[in-house]
Amino acid sequence: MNGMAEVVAATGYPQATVEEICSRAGVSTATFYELFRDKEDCLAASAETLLGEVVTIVTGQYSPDKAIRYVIRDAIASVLALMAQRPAAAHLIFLDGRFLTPATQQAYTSGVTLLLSLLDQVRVEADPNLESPRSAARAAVGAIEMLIRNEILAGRTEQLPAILPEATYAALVSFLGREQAQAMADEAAANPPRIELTPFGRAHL
Amino acid sequence: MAITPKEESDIGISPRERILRSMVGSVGVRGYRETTVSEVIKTAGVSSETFDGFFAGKEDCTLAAYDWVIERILDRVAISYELGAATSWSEGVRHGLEALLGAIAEYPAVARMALVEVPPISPEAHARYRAALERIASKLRGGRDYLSEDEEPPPHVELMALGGAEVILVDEVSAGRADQLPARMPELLFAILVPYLGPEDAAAEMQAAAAA
Repeated sequence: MNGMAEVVAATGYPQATVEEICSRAGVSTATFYELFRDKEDCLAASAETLLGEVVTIVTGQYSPDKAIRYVIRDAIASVLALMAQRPAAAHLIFLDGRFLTPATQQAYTSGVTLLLSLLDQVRVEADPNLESPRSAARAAVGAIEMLIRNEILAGRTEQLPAILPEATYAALVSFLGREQAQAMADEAAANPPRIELTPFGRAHL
Repeated sequence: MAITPKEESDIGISPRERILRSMVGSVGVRGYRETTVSEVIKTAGVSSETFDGFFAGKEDCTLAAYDWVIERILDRVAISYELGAATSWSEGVRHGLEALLGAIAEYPAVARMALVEVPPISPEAHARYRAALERIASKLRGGRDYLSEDEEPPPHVELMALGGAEVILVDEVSAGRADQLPARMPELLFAILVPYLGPEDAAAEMQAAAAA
């Protein structure tokens, strides 16, 4: 699956061949076909595995005594930390996932929905007179995605945690206003949260 | 090099442009994976020698068709933006957005090609997509003038504005709802304005746009 993500990032999914995937992964094609039906099946398995890791690390930031705006900030921080460790996976999730196959689209949508559910909770803290449209949460996630894509395309995937302040602002501005969103961003810059990645982090995709 | 125009309207259009049109149509309707060069040249009414004279292959031709489409759409958006911007920046954004949504609703296959099919085909395609976004971002920079000096916006505020709207466009075009996008103009305007103006002022602009 690591080979898969690397080939997609390097050449694009349409050009990816099973031979190339195997050569990057250092396994034989026989092994590949024992594990997967074809390259689409392998891609689906990669997407599912990555989604599982994102869900685990994001939900791990939740704690009942933490204000929801901090849960959101830490959820973003955890995704950025995970992606910085796995540039090929970052490319697969943020650049190609939403387009490639029904399985990757499903994984992408599930990941987005997770963040949307957190943003819907911050609405509760927002001024009730505020008339943000219902799509404001989707737009906020889209803004974060764009910031992340920009770093990946500029070859700065490994420095993704540096955009946490801006991503925090993008997540919160529609609900808490510019002042409070900026205050959260400043705090994230001055005192970034510590994110513990699972020990198998590097070994996996 | 036999060139047989397929329709009256094709007369006077260069073979290269006929190939590009045919490629846009095929990728937009059938998808990149299902598109074949042989079908494209058949629809365009050109020989494979003619195709080979212009393009290195399917990906090369698709990227050229992408540039050709983006050029036309962004010209349309830029003209509308300039007309609105004579009044104010947010009016410019509203006009530009209206032009974009109108084009998407009018040509859903072109929108599908540009927003959904082309970006994932290769790293080069992603780079072209990013370049197109950069051009729109440069228009949005005017929004910084709206803010007083002590309100320094985040350095990538243009990307936030674009990302908020782009993701809704991609979601809707992917789901086959391109025709419904013009009706969603006010909330898309909110998504673009909110990182600059904050939610109160962006909501006011959204309501004014809905009432207009």
